[in-house]
Amino acid sequence: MSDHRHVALELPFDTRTWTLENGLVVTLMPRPALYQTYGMFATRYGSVDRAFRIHGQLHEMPDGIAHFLEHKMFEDPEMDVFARFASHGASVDAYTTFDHTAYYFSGTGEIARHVRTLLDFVQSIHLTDENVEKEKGIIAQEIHMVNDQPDRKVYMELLKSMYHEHPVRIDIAGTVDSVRAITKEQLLLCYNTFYHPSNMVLVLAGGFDADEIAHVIEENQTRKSFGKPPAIERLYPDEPPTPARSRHSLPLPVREPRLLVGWKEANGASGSNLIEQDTVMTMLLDALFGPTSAFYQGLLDEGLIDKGFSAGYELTNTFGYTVVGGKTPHPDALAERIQAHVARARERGIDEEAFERARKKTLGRVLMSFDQNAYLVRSWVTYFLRGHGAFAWAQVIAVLQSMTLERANARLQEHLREDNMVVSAVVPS
Amino acid sequence: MESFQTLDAGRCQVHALPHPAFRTKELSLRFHLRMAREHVTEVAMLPAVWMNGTRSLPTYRQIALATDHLYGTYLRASVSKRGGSHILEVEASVPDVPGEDEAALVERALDLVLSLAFDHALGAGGFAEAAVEREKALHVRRIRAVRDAKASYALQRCHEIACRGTPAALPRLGFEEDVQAILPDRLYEVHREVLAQAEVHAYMVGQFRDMAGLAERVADRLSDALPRDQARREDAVASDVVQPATVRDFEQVTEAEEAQQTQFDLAFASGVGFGDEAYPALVMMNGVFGGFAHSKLFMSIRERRSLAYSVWSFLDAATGLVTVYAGISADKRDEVRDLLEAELEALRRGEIGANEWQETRASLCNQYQQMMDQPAMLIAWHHHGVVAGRVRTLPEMIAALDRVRPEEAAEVARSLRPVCLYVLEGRGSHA
Repeated sequence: MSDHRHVALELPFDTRTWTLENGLVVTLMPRPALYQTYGMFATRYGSVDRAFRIHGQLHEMPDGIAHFLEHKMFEDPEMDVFARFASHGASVDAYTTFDHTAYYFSGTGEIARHVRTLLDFVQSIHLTDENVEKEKGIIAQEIHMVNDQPDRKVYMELLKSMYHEHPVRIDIAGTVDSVRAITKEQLLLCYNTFYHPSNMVLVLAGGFDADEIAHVIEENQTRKSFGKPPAIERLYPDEPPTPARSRHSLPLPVREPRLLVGWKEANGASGSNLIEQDTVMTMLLDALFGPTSAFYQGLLDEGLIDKGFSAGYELTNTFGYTVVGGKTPHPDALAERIQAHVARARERGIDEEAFERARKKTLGRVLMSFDQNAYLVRSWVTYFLRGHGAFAWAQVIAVLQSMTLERANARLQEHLREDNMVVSAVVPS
Repeated sequence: MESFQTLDAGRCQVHALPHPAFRTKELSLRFHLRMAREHVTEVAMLPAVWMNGTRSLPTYRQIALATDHLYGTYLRASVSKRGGSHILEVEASVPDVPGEDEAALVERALDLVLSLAFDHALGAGGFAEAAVEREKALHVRRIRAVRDAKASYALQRCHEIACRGTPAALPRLGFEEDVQAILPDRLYEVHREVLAQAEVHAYMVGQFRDMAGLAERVADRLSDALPRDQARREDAVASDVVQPATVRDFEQVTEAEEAQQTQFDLAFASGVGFGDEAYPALVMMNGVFGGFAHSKLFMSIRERRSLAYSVWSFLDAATGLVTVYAGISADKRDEVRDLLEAELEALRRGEIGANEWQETRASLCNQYQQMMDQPAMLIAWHHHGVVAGRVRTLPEMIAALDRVRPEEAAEVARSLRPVCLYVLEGRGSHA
């Protein structure tokens, strides 16, 4: 068997990135053998960007406004956006995260047309008092839906425990009350601030002709004028490195309790640290909590977890955290076991064999993800908007291949500490 | 695109589809059999039991170790249902790793798939008493957890009521009250029955150096592993299509629980199933009615009246049920019902705009074409055709949609008969 640390990997596609005159960054990953093309137009603007200064003036916005704006972008007097994509065989949708808002289509033909429609509908806005009011009822139902989802609730409660001040502790959609307070003028201000092309990125992967699409984008953007980019100063409150509360339990009308254990990063990150840190954490968490660990099998044998038990890591410019857990009949016992397991691992270090196994597994998983255009585009957009800069997928593989056990052990000591650990449970009411 | 090449090996069929674009090789072994009250829970538990260990890899951890050594090959065993048929699946997604011997990786993944289905013995691995007890506890939790996902639970309840008295009404995971009494030997007996009686189909999709040779080896190994001298397939495929003419009186069921949102599910019988000639017309009708964000229901209930965030109509190809779903406030149920019935009446009168028609057809074609990039979807699509007794390729389905005329969709809409309104009423709010 070959040594998977040193395999030269030929990627099944090229990644071409350039910046337009208006500041928009474009990345194309042409995959001629695939039917589907997935295209995403995204802005570095999410739910945590609720306070900012423009030309010296401070603005503080109601919670949920970035998500509200995402809904309103589909309002267009010139066209029904959904129907416009649909009539030429594509679907369109959008989502808002803590730190970005993304609009995307998925289609199998007429890609040039879809790219133009995507750019055009996001680069124009049509707000009236009436259509802003109308959206509040729809968003209220969305908030009710999410509030009835125990997995989401236990996650949000974890973040509320982890953070004292940082707005990551607030639901992305806000509350029914905060949404009610949102005005047309506020939405317009946020749009003009955060939807300038220089704050955005356009990424496509799939079965299209790269030269044709590059031309379409250039032509579309040259026609429009956006003025100078606003100088945005984003304001985030000071956040202590330690958690707001170490343990929280929320009674809900559920059949199955949920338990999450989280560790808070003292800082966010940007640049090449993002991919490096994501990679080492993926391997570390797999070695510690993955299905091949003796720990996982032990929990399964004792009936403390089911196979939905998982571990994940999130790192942005201004915050970061690890989350481990799932459904369990005994949240307290599971929390204790996780805590004790990490304490023991910190004493002994990560087992080298487990670490190499994690490397091998992660490599295979990255290669398989290349079959998923949506995954490629989303990952690229996320890393880019978090300040990684343009990159090729070969870099991700190179980071994985050169990762060391020492680095993983250093992260274990630095990040998975007891003083930054929090526990969140949802229990039957 | 190419279509599946099928190797008929008597007791089983092996379907192979080369696909040059994928770096992932997909292997799938599927068993399907009719659901029956007396063994539904045991059958539903089997895939999870299989994952607890085989004779040669006696713990879940050893199975997981084996997949890690295959570069993180995904190995899954799952249970799903299609109308009144249970489908048990073992599948592997194997990465193409440069520098690795492809054939060796595939062979080892295939060994894993086959051993999960066949390499068991009473008292060993998954059928050891401790494993069965653990799995029983997990199965009870799985059944209970269904209620925590309110939208899918409400749809399941609505279909249970609409199909009452038929195998299609049985829940995918079976019944909690059955679980306690299950003993390892009984479970093993059901396992043997499934191997003996289920129809068996194996699939491979991706880039394989010698696909035909591999298909033959799979067929040989399946023939060795499966009990012989059993009827391979029933001649007539059982139909789960709910016929409008035989529908009892319209039923309304309201259940309440503590939740912020109310789940509204109204099921109509179309009398048309996947294998029927009118199926493409039904698919078009459902698309115009509520399948998309440009559809009548979305425009009316969400965009014009702000009554819901989610509002769709779902088409169940096995039962032919068209179900309107909306997540709403409890006090809006009558308003939502009036609006959806007004939209349905418009459809029945043939009020389908040229744009609506074109948008729906193009959107459906897009959905089907995108499935061609997804190996697991290609397999599921083919197998659902097998279960329904009529295999259509994706290009055939797209061509059939092209031929449907708006009058035919209106005719299908006229045949819809309401069967059941199920409302899971959210009472009170929680934090």
